[in-house]
Amino acid sequence: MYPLIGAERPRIWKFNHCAGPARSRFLLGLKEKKILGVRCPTCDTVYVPPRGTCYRCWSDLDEWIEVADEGTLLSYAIMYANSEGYIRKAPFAYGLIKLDGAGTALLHFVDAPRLEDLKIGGRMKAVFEDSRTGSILDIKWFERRQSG
Amino acid sequence: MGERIAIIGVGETEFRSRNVEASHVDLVNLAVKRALENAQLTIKDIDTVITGQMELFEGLYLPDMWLVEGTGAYLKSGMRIQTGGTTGTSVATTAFCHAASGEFKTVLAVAYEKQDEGSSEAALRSISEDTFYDIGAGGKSAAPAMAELAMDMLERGAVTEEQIAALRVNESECASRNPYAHLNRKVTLDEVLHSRLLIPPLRLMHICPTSVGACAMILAPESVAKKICPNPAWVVDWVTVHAAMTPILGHQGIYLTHGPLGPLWGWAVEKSAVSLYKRNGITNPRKEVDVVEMYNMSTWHEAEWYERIHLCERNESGKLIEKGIVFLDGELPVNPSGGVVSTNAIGASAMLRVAEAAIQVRGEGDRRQVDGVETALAVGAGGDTYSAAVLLRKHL
Amino acid sequence: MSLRLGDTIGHDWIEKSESESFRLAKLKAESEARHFEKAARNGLLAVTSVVNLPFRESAGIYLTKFFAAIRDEGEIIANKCPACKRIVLPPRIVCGFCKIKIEDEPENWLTLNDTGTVLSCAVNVEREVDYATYRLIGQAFPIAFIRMDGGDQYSILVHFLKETDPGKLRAGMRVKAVWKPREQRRGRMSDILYFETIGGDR
Repeated sequence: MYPLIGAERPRIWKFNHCAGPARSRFLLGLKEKKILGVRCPTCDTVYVPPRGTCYRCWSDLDEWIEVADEGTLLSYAIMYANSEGYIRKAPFAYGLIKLDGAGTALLHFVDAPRLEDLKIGGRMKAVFEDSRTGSILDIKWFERRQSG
Repeated sequence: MGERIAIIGVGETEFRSRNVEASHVDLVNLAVKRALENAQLTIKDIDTVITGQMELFEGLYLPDMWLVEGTGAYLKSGMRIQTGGTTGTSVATTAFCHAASGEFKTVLAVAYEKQDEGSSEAALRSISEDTFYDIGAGGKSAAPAMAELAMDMLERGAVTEEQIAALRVNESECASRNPYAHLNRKVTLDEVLHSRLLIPPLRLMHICPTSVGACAMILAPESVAKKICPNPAWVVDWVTVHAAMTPILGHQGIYLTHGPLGPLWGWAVEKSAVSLYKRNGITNPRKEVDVVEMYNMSTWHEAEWYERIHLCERNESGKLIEKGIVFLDGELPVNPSGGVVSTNAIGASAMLRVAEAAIQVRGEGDRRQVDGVETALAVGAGGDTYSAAVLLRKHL
Repeated sequence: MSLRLGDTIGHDWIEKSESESFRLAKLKAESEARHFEKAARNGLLAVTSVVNLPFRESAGIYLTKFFAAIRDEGEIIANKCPACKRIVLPPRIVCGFCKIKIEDEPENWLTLNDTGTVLSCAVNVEREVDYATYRLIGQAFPIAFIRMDGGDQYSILVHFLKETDPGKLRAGMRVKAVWKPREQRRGRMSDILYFETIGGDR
């Protein structure tokens, strides 16, 4: 017998993901440093990021409101190990932030001078990039506010 | 025990080559809304949701999670199906089984494709060319297989190029009457005969486009259908056959051999149709079926499959075309919707055959409606030689 | 097969078809870019991403034998179902017709000749340009279904033909494999360069 024959083969694919009307509007809002949400009148929830349909009651959503760029940290995870696919170098942290006015939490990077100082319940504020393109990364991260 | 089942609602979106205005969920949402409206139901009346598309083509993973916005499947049961080109009929037959189980009052089946988001050729290439079979045959490996079939038909005198062109003209005539069809412009004989050659004798106008769109169908078991639907399309029977027995190395998905079985693709189609006829006492499909919707990935395939599903004897498909028997105003219209040659959103294509057959049975075909449809046959197939034949009737 | 080819194919079809393929691919890419730009101006965004997913695969036991024979011996081997006696190319663990296991015993393996008969071939007038890398895919040679000698009706190999003159391509023509030198063979199907025409008819 001989060792099994194996091979490696790269598969390089290109995709164009269409954001659709609701998500496009949200992303273009980020370009203007605005964080937009959409309200479901039946469920009385403000979705951030917004969507075209309420997944709970299936109503069409068209009541757009602007939410604050600061909110409460609901949960976080500090990444100590690097991995292929992460766009930031370890250590960095993800967090779930409930912005003032929103009914759902937004997932994004969270930052503090020492990541270990992040605290559930703490106040976080969005830090925007200077040059924005209409992407979720127009927000650099959410920063710990000392007052919170 | 199982119950008899019916299709009680159908919804489609207008198929186009590009649709940046909608994301996946928007597309599916529209089709589902139309199906609900057609069935006079609300989303609350749907018990379970079956979805299907070729997610590799759009670079998605577990799309049924995201699709909840579009399908209204929040906290409902269901599953996602993907079987290549046959995805549509697999979604349909899975939905049939769910409905027939009697466990659900209604079943929603959704099949769609958003091909402007990726390259189906690149994805097909990675399926049909494996790591060790690296001769670089290219993603158009479906096309050589199609060309082989076309060449075979020319050689044994089953059709002529002019007849194929005439058939293509008829397909475009049907598509022009279908508000949802993608290529809905009426073409001329001249245009077809002189369109760009891809692989002789296959021309550009003979093969299907890539489209963006969604199709949704609502099914119910007999006890529910009789109560809530005044005009159900009864799904009398269906047969699924998978023919991948002797794949040719290097064409994992596309098989074609010469031998007593003929092209393997066609073998599965033939077996499924013949089993269906036998189980339902159909001895002369040409007389006993009123309309056929079949998966014609190219005009040549439609002609070849006339023989496969026993609408005519071997080498006689040209005669069916010559006499106009299979045209919209003929004795047995085939693909009054325009078929896959006019609309090919891969995930949806096979289910559209069932949906359009249901539309014909329910008399909702509008300008493409065939008169007096009592029995309809829908045949779906795909590159992996999965074939399904479905029989629909107006009355049980 | 008598090919009625029309004007787009001639003896220089390789060059013409390649530049035509690039021209069409460029047109398509430009049209797509314009479409997305216009949509973005109307507030509808599309995000383009290129992913590179390298996979590592093993050939498995039976195909390892197959490709090792190609690499080391310059031979094409197949196995045979003990029940229905069908020859299985490429060799498989289970006979698809009988649904039984074909054991890895010497009596179940056989060597096919590297000559065969062309069942049909396809002349790719339009070569594919890869959507992500913008490179020309595949080969300029005609691709053929070749029934290998020593096998049965199902022993079909898909490979290229050396003959590029469409006027000389015929179903039934006899071809023989042209192998790469031993030191260049790696245990893949590309260890055979293509199949060249040999004399005689079947």
